[in-house]
Amino acid sequence: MSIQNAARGARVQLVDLSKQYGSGPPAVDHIDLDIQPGEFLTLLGPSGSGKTTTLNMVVGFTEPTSGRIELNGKDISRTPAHKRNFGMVFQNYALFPHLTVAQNVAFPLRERKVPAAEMAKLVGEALELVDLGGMGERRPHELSGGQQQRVALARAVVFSPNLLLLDEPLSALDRKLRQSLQREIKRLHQELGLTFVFVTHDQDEAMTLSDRIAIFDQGRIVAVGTPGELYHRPTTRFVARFLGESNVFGGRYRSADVYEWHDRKWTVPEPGDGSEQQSLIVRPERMRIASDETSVPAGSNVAPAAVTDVSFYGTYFRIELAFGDDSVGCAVLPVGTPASFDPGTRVIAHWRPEDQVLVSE
Amino acid sequence: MAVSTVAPEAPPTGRPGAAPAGRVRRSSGWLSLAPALLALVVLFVVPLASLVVDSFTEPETGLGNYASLFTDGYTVKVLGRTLLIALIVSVAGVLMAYPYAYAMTLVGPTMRAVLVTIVLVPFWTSMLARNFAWLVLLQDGGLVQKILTPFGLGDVRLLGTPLAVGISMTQVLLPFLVLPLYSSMSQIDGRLVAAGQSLGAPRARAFRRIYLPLSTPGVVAGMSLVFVLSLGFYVTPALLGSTRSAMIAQVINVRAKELLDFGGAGAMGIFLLVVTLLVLGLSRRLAGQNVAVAAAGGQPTRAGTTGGQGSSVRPWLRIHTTIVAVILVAPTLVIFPMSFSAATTFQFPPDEWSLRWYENLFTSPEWTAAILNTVQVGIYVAVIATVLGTMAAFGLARLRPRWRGAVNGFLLSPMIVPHILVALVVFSAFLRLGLNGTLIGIILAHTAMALPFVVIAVTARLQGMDVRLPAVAASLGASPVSAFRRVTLPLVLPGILSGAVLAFVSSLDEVVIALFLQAPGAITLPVQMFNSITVQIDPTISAASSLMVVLVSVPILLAQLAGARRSKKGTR
Repeated sequence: MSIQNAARGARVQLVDLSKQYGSGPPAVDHIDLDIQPGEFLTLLGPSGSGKTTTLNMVVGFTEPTSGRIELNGKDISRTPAHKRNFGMVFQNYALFPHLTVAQNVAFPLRERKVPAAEMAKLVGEALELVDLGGMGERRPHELSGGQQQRVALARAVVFSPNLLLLDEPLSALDRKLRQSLQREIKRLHQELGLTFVFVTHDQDEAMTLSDRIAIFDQGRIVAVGTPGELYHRPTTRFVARFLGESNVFGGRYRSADVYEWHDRKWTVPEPGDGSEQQSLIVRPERMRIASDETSVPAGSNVAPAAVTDVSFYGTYFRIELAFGDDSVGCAVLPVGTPASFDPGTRVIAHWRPEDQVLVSE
Repeated sequence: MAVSTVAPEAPPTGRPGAAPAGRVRRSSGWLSLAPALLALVVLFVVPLASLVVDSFTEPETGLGNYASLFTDGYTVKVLGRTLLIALIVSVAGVLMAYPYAYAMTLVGPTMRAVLVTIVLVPFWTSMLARNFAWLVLLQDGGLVQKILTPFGLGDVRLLGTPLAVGISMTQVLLPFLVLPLYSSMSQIDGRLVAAGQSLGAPRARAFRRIYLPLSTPGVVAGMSLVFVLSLGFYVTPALLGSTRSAMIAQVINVRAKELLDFGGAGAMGIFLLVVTLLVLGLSRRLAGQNVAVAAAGGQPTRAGTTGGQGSSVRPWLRIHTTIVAVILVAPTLVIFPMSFSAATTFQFPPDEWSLRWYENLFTSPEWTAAILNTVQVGIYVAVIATVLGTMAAFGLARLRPRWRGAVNGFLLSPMIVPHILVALVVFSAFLRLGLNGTLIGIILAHTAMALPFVVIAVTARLQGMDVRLPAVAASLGASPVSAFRRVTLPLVLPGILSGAVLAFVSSLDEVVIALFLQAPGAITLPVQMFNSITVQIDPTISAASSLMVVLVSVPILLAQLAGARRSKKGTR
């Protein structure tokens, strides 16, 4: 048996799952989530939104107040953590300091009474998998943070778990290391075919890694979808704000094709949920800027704005905007855009109606 | 009195407050605390309570015993003398210890290690051995008198005076000042004084206005600790003082053991306890730190990190530090040559050499019996206290924070209660139970005294451990039992071992309780040593003292070596 072909992604379903501590508001409030076999699913949300509690219930550290967790259709809500066969990677590595790297990786195998020869082979394979071949005799404290997290990864996959849970595994690392480990995790996911459940509050991380993202807010899952769906077609203002930047216009949806913002009336190809209280969202890279209304292409929606700041990022400019009603936004323009705008300039922000999204509160 | 020299170093992996591991059952905390709490209640609280009752009812109901503390004309003098000596000892101690501790923060790592070791040497030298050494040095015709002779002070009598008691007590208690002082100083950023100078304060004033206030908590903690320890001192005044200049512990001893006046002795003991609690409470308020823990741990936080002191050791500081260092190690240096003396007196330095005292130590029935008793008691105490203390430490970690403080305080209480009171309490209780004069009695009493050392050592280790590791083990397939055996236990083991060593050593070195509970069949080595000075002049004590130094320092050194090996293997 080797790690690669033994591991098979499992399907995990959370059914009406809740967790309440004491008499406060529920930490997790009746969530449903269907995690597909082999999928890379990210739980994304601000701190305290319930994602870590959810993870702890899945791994078995926390008992749900109500609801079920099913593994391939079987209820495992009351199965203790050590019998679930889920791998988990923790934020601060959580390696056993009294054991060597190899002993750390062998830990779950010894619990499963794997014969010595087999164990040595699997440990070697797992360490190779994370590029730490030959480091087996080191102690955790002799390794860098990135290496320690690789050991933790090897330890969590060596026993062919049904599921790999990762609890903000990269948040303790510096930016450069974080990016290289992101690639590593993505590669592992592809090579192992395991189901990954990843918790983070970093939207970029979530976008780069995930097949699907579940966005948490106040104990509920407010949206589930692919990164593209969630970014381009957010359904609520919270989702839009949480995933990427947005220009948010708080006007009124009036009728089938009119969105009213102050004295402006904008074309609306899609009605959103049809209610009046919807915000109109435009992503910065879809926002265009013109010096006056005559140079705006026909059919565009327009909003007058003042440039408050311009920053140069090498491949693009970022232009901060202030709209008439105290709301602020920004546009991202590729370098090479003909016009240049200085702070203080009055401009016209415009966009194509199909580039906007209506979202509910 | 052998206090944590094998202070466990907490690994920096801890992330207390992180996701609590799995399902922590609060009730299981109380369950594993129960044996230790029960032991303390039975061995300590109940007897203490009954002594309090005695002090109000024996021989007749009322406040008579307390009134006579102040009215019999004798006790009040003794109390006054005791308080005065305690005050002088703590002040003199600070004057010696402060510059020494300051020098410790200035020197390089190697020199610091040497200075730390010198402070720890007295801990390795048994209490009785040190007092014996002072007796030898201060006796008529002793080394100190000879040194003073050229100054025309040769016929000044030292032994039997409060001066001798004060000198010896100061030396004995000096480490309790140096360690908290050093611990508090090593946390001061030395550049602050330089900053003060750059702001226009001359060096001395910058020191006085910046460094001194910052180090005050350490001064208060150390002084109050030494003060309360001095209050209950028995061995030093009994050996080096006289009945004419008695301290309160001697009077308590006479009242209880010779007059069986538990009411009167109890009143004195309770008075002592009240003063102790007042002083500790006050100092805690002033210094804002737990004095008891500072005492027990005495753990110098490795200073290497503070760095940047940027000032050199001045000549006067160098001289002072050297003198204090000599005073710290001198008694130990006296003992070894003494043990090879051929003389039948406590003459020092010896004129002739022989091995006769070692021969006597290992062949005479009373000395061999004492050695066996001591080792036997020590092993029982180490085993029982380690089991109870370790369970208690694990239990503590599971309690809710608001309970934890109170329970921890209770578990550590044997450390702050004056030894003479503990001895009195245990003596009166065991007398009623017929446990007096048995090794069992001594074992039980020593266990209560040793419990705090184990609790502190194991707790330190537990706090240093990443609380999530057992849960991590569970996620990797380990059952709770397996997680404990393969993860928690190996990580905490160094703490358990050093707790066991400290428990053993504390029992080995304990005199006061053993003196109270002694009987022909139940004489420990320190008691035999005590009697060899007070009852007859038997130089075998010097060989016994040397043996004690070895008995105490070997386990500590072994523990330290084990600790060093472990941390090299990567417990950090």
